[in-house]
Amino acid sequence: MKILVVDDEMDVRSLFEQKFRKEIRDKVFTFNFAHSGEEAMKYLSEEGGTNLLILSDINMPGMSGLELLGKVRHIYPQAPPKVIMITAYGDSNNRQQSEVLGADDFLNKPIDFGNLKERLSLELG
Amino acid sequence: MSRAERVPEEVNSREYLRKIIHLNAIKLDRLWLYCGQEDTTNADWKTINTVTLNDLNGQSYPWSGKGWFKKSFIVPVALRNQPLYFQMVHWGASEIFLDGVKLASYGKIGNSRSTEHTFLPDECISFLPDNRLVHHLEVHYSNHHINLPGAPSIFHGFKLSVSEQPILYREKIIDYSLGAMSISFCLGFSLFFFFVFWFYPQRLASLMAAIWLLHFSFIFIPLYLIGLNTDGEFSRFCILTWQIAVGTINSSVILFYYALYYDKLPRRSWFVVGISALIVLAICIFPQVGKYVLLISLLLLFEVFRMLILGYQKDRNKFWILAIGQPLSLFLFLLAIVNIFGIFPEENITTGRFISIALSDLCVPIMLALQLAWEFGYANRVLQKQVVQVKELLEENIIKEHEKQELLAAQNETLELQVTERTTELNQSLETLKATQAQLIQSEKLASLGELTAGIAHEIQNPLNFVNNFAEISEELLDEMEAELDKGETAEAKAIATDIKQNLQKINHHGKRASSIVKGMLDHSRTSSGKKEPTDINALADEYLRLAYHGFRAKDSNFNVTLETNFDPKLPKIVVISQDIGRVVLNLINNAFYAVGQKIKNRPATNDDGTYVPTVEVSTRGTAAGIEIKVADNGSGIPEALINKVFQPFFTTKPTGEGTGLGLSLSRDIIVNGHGGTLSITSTTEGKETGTTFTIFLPIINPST
Repeated sequence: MKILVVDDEMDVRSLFEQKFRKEIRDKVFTFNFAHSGEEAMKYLSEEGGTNLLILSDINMPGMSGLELLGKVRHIYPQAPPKVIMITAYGDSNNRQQSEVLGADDFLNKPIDFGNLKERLSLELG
Repeated sequence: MSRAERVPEEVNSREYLRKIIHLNAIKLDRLWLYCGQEDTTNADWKTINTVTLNDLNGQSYPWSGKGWFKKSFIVPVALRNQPLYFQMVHWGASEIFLDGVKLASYGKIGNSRSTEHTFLPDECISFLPDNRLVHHLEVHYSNHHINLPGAPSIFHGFKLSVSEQPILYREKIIDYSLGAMSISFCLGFSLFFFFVFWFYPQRLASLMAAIWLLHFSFIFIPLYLIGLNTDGEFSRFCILTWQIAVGTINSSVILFYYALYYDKLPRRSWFVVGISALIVLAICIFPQVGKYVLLISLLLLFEVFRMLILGYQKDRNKFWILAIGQPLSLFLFLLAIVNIFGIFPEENITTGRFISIALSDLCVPIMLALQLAWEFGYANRVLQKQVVQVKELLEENIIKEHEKQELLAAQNETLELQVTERTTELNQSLETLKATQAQLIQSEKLASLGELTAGIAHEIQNPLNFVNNFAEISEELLDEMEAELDKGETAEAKAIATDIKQNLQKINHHGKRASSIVKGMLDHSRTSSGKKEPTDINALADEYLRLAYHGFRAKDSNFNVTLETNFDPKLPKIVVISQDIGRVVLNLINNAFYAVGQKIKNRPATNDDGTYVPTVEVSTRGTAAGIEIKVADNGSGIPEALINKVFQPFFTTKPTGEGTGLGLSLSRDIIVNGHGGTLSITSTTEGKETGTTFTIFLPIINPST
């Protein structure tokens, strides 16, 4: 399963790579990283949305996570790709907007990687 | 020449005696026989009643030219055998014969004015009458002055009288003394009025009164002079003078009234003077028409009476004296001349006439003197009253002044106290104000801090998350590493160790990142240390741009803006109070974000063609003089009317509660007063260039200073 992580923070990559070291090694998940909404859209246009799960931050310079969600759902009105938004704790406003825009789920920031793993294994069914 | 033999019957009557014996004198003024021819032989003698105009009673005057007069008279027994005296009064020439003997001769009888030597007799002729009952008197007389207009009537004929003593001069003496009295009266008063004018020239009426009286005296001086001399020609000159004086006297009267009522002579005075000049000319050139000219002068009387009436309307106090005096004088004068009412006894007619003339003469100076005296008295009374009033007022004023000064002193004291109180209050207010200002500045800082908080939270949250995550992972990695080591997989353990090492570095990095943010926040909120230090403006601008951006994004996740930075890489470090400059840059960036945010909000949905890309650009540039920091947005711009207000304290376009209105004011204070720089603004509200650009210029200052 392909997972596209969209976050402007560079260190997110090494965090994910270390956390999912085994899964990456066993090729359970394939992680791709985009540092902005624009990069994510570029990835989508190149790779398509099948068998893809997008994990997106909201506050990013340039295209924000919500915009990205809007655009994704514009192209793919329904999952796949599934889009899970990472929202700050208690940010009900962004959460509501994400729901309206068609987000499939939410994760609170800071990311609890234990929860994330469970959530992702659910996806694998 | 023959003598009249016939004695009139009435001569012997008691009546006649009573008439002629008057004060021991025989008046020979009635019942003469007259013959106009030179040769009286067989001539027709005409009886006339009088030889003087005084008693003419309407009879035509017969003695123009030359003629003979004769009369018989009786010397009473008591007067016989003693010297008697003849007195002749006339203005002509005469020869007197008594009982056929030539008694006296005055002047030279002639046929015309040029051949006649006119004479005014002034002496008595004595004679000793014999025992005859009746004496015959014959007078050869010529008179060519009859036509001289205005000549006193007494000179139109002759007046002959006989007395026991030469007392017939009495009339003359009375005449002289009364005349002299009138003249000296008039001249004296004239001088007096002139002196009054001399010392008080403001009263022009005094001068006019002096002129009037001088003029008035010239009516009497010629008459007086006629009486004093015997020469006919000089008398003629005197008569002319008299005529002129009489003809023009009313002008002086009018001018006096003008001066009295108007204080200044009005223009029509010239007219009055002109009329008088005409009268003088007429009398000098045509003496024959003189008496008609005198009538013209009567016209001036109308003006005199008009002025009297005007005086009544203008000033009644001044009016009464003149209103009585003026007509009285005129009345007495006319009375003297005409004796209209015959109020004087016939015997005393001359004396009475002289007295009334004298009284008439005196009327004017007396009237004027009374007028002046009254006026001065009145003025003095008024002045005295006023002096008293002035004195009272002065005293009142002094008292009031005193009170005023006291009041003023009291007020001054109160004022001083109030000033002191107010100063104290003002000082307190100033202190309060200073404290409030400090508080305001602090709240402005806190307000911008508030705007930052969300951004800062985000900024801190991220590194903290990394710290937590990397720490967590590292712990897990250590467990894994232990497991690998237990398995003897050294290579794998080493790889994990490398990861852990990297993680620790990341932890360190993010920790530092978080603490630097916290430091920045503290720096911002802390009261400015005032310490200037070399600062990298590029770094400072970048840092605050990020903070501001995240702050806005945190508040409104829809908010999006294209950030453009254009930092001069060669920008030197500059000595500034970095917190202060940071605050300014933050403030400007926040404003720029707000501006583009507002533009997005306010754009009508229909007009949203998607071409608007909200952009905020922060740029720096180094110049020889200093550095320039520009914060530009492409918001709606600031209208020209408001552009001068943006730096005013408490000016804000933000809704109530959102902005303190102090941001730009404080920013300017920091840049201009704190760093000697400038903070300028350019803004456009229309066209492609719409937006606002703030430019900070900071001069390069030597750190040692």
